[in-house]
Amino acid sequence: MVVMSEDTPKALLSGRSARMSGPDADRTHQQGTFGEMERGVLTLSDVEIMYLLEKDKIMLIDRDGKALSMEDFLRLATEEDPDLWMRYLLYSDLRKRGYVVKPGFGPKLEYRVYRRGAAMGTEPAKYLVYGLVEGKPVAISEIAAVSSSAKLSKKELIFAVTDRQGEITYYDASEIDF
Amino acid sequence: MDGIDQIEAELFGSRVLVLSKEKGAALYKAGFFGKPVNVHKPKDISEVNTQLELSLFEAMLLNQRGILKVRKGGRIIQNEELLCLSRKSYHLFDDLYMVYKDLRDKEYIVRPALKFGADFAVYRQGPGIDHAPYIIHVLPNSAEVGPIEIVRAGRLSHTVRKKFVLATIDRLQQRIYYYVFNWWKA
Repeated sequence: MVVMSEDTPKALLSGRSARMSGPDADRTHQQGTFGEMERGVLTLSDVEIMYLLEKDKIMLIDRDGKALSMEDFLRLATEEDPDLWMRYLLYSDLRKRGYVVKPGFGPKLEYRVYRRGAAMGTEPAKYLVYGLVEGKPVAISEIAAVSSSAKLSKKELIFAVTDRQGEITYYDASEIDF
Repeated sequence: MDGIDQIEAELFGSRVLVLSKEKGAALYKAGFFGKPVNVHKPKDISEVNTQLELSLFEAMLLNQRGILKVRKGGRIIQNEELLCLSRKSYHLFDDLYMVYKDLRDKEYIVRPALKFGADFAVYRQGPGIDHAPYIIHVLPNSAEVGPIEIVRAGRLSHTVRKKFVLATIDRLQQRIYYYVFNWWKA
């Protein structure tokens, strides 16, 4: 049961993302901190949908006009991407700490993170946050690749390690040349 | 390493000793190679009058550089034989040696770091001269890194108050990557 007031911005589910337009889109966009705005249409990613649903900031409507809760959407979207919950955990943890979080460059558990109080659209992200999950080793070549991608884009590389219960700890990583 | 004549070391089991006290002292002086037997943290090497024990990494490097001859029983052994022996008596010798050699070739002073819970301590000038060495942990057979390794490295940097470095070996590219991790207060 989804209870929300009439004027909660409505987002239309389309695949794994959602679209909004009009004043709702502007309101949700919040100076560029959520979604990608193109020709007045705001597209929200799956983790953004989850986060905004959890905060009661949007109403998610499917093709049949039915409102979906965060749990409904999680169930639905996990079928396509089993790692959605992991991605959401990291996304929301960073958001709750006051950062603006945007998707990274690769298909991996990776986000671009802006410094607190960043002027969106005028400055680049300060950090590249790369997620690691307890029990899952990563290839050395992968570490080398993220590290050089962070170096090239002049971002600080942060490793976010998520434990078996979803607790996240962050480590600043830097490659050093001897 | 200039001015060092050929030095002879002798193998006793898998331990390498420079029996000449003068030559041992010269070698220690030349780049903090080895450890004077029974002397803990020598302050002034010229006052030390003992044999010098070398690690297998040191013996291997100095032998490759043509500075050290290694004797076993009645004969001088070749570098390949020393390598075979080192592999047998030191677990993951090749991985560690690759890192040791890389750092020594770059003219760092590289010492053991077992007491720090790691593989190597790396100094710019030498122990006793610069006080905060990098502590290196070599990830053996490192095709993969587990998250625990990263957390451990971050924790150790924090508690040891030294830069704790994870060395990973990319076998395909034949190169070593060094990473430092520090706890990030998000």
